[in-house]
Amino acid sequence: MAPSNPNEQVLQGTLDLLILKTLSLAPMHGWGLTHRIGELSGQALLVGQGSIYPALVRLEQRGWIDTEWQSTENNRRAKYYRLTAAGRRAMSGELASWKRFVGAMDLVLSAGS
Amino acid sequence: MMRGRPLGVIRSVASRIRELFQHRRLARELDEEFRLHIELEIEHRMKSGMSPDEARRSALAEFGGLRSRTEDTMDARGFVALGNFARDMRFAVRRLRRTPTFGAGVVAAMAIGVAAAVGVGALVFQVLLRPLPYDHPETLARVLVRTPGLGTNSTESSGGLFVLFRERASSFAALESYYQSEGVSVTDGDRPEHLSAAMISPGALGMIGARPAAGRLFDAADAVAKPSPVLISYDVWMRRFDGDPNITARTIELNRSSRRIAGVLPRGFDFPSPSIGVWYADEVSADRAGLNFRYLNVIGRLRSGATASGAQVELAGLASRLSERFPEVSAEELRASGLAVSVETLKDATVAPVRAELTLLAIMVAVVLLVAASNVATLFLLRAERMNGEVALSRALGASGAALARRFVAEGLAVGIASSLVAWPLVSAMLASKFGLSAAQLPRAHEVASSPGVVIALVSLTVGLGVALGLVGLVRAGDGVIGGRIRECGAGARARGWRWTQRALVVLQVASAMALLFGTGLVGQSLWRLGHVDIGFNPRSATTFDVSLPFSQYPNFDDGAAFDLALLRGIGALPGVQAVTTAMTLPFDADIPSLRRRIVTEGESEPREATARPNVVPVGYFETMGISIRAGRSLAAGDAAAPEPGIVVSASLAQILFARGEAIGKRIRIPDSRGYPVYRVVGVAGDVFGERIQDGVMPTLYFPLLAEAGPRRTAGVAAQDDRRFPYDPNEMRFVVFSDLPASTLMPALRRAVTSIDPKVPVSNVSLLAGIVAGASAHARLMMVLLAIAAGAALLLSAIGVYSVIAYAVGGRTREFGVRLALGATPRQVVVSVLRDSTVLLAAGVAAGVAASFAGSAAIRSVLFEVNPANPAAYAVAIATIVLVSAAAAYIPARTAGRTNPTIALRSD
Repeated sequence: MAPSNPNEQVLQGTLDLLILKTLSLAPMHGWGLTHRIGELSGQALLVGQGSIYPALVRLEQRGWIDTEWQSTENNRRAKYYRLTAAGRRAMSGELASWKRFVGAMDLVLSAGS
Repeated sequence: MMRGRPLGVIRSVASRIRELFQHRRLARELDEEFRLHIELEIEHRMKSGMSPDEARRSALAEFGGLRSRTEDTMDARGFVALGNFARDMRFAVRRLRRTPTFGAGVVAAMAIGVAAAVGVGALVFQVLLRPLPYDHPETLARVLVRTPGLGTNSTESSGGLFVLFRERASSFAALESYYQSEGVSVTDGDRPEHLSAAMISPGALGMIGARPAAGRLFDAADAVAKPSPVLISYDVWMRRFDGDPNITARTIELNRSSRRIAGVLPRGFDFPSPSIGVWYADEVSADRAGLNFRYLNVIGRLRSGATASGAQVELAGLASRLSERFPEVSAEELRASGLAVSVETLKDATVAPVRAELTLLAIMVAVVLLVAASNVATLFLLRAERMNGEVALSRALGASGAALARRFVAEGLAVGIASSLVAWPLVSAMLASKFGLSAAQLPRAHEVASSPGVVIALVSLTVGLGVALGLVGLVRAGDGVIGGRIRECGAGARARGWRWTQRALVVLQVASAMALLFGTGLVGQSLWRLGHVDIGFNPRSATTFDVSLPFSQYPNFDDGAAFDLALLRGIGALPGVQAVTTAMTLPFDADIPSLRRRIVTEGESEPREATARPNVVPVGYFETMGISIRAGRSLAAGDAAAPEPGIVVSASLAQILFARGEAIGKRIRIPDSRGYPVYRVVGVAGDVFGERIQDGVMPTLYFPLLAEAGPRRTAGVAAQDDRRFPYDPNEMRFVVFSDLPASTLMPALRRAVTSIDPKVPVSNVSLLAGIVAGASAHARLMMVLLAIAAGAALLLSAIGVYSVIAYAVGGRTREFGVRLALGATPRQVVVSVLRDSTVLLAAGVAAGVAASFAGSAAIRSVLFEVNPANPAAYAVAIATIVLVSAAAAYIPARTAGRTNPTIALRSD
């Protein structure tokens, strides 16, 4: 059951990376994406619908993702998002900077222990 | 961090441009996508055990309003402003309609302020600033001649001075003259008509760059031709000649002599005034060089490189040597006259009479605009405060800064457009009415009109203001986002800065309203005094009209007098007419400088002199008009024929001429080459005023209108030296006291005139009451404008005080709750809030007093017998502003006192 307020606020800027990474696994529609992120994070990261769609629009405008109307397994029309080549390159860049960030955080937090 | 890549930027722009054309499809797709999302979510929730209803409700609640989510997502697309304009505007209008009080308030405040500013701004621009509609108007100058020593404030030149200037002045490439006559009667056809006429030197029209609509302008030969040809106005051309293209082959009968028409001046031609119907060529001669006969308006074209001040020095030097050129003007006379010449650019000279009033008016509306703008700014700021949370939320939901900016700007724009729609009818009404000012009161009045420029000014001002205010709101609302503060926005130092801005605006509003109230008080007092001045006659219900007798048909005083007296008898015999009288000038008539005469006492040990307005009146004039006789007697039969004709002088003239006030039996003379007789004062009449009461009473000389006035003449002009009076009763104004409606009275009056002479036109029909009201119309207009401005400013400042205090109170609910919970009485809370507003008020009043003091110099010229350093006006203005502001502050203060402590403390 999804709580109405995500207990973990997705950090500004990290949402893009989460979306890119998730889409790199498989093309997906919007609802699927929110659920997949939830699943993959063990329900720790819950992305609000209000954030996911504007973020998808932004990414599409940057040319990092592509859209296509396809049928779902239940034969419903849905808009699927897919990573583009540019998106894949962007993802690796974002990933690298995220790792640098986490590493830096780690260094600070583990100082003196 | 990756946005900087050039490829990414191009792709992003390309994608947006594509979206611009696909807006509708994208919106539909988004809708479909969201629907699917919700359906999938509902299914998912049902699978995890919710009932269908519960699943649907919770999913929908979580997703939020489908529509607003669509808007947020669309905003995130950051549509190019142009393509999105209509959508943004629709959105803005919808938002404004959701808060109708705010919407109506800002639109009304802005429309009032902008309408006043643009209307008056257009008037001031068109009258004071716009160049005159002539060729190279900047090098046209007017020559003004003043002779304070002769007791007159006229600025006309004498023939002698004009000839002297023309012969010797090197600063001018051309010098021309003109004057307006009393007018002429068009006597051909069956429609006698009275036209205003101008006598101009032949080169005058060419000098200002006039181009004829038909025919030609004057040339030098026209002035000496007999009979000389005339020019007619476009209006006369159309009305009397149906625009005949062959007009130069036609003639017009003026004062019963036929004249060739040399040409037609263009439509709207306004030199020397737009009312002129006929122009005569009149070459000035110096046969009357004396300074006491001055009637010429002199204008000139400055030579290139010459300045008005340089020309003034030159002409003053020339004028001081007038006696050398014209020995009949003695050096003694010249010195005593205090002759002073000034040269002003034509525009400065034209607008000088209203410069002070218009400047004051401009300051006034600038203040109203300032108050209105600051008020709207305050409202936008307060609203922005409230929208702070909303903005932060939109931002968190992914709306871009640009989208937010667009939203605010669109709102400002919507307000701007709405206010220009409201303001436009106000502006065009103001300009069409010319603020109630007549052509006589407002130079260039005929040039005042709405124009595309006015529309552009209005739209750019409202839209500019609207957008600026939208941006102010955005910057303020943006504060909440920057700090991530959605609720505690009132706490930061930045917010304090904003609060100071609001307070400064309110101080400004209070000060402006106070200054305007002060001005209204002064003008109100002035108006009251004007209304209580003894106007010197009894303004009963009466109709006035003018008749004009052509000199060629009525060459002698007695001819004119015979007509006038016959008409008086004819009208007096009409049923329903209680009384009738006539005079050359009536009370409140404009002063005609060329009619004034210098007079000197005769046979006194110390001769005195004065300049007086002359009048010619029949027996019974004073009694019929209700003008008192202060001493001696009224005019009577025999006065005109006496060897020393009997005259009546006004009390003010008696005062000037005979210091001890013993005027009766004293003798006066008109110093003129033509040897008028010596006159004997038989009575002293009460004073009446000229055109403006403010200018004071008119020293007046009353000559008798009696059919016994002098020897017969046949050739008119030739026999002028035999005249007993300096005026002929050919241009008389009749006053008919009657209760009959105009529709009955006027035809009867016309019949009375035509039964004596069918070719004499009746003109200038008006009501005596209107003439009386006209005398204070100017002051009343100022009063009305000031009162409207002050009322608007007062209302706006009350709204300003209210909103600032209400806002402050809203932010301190918790504090009041705590205070009340700790035992403060509601009264103490109310008082503490009011104390807060007292500071604002005190600052506003202090600034208002300073502004009033500074502004009193500007208002002095429009006041009548009221000293601007007026404690009563200050007191009333301060009391009004304090009362209204206190009332405005009390409403939120009372709310503060009623704060419920439990609720206030609970609300996080």
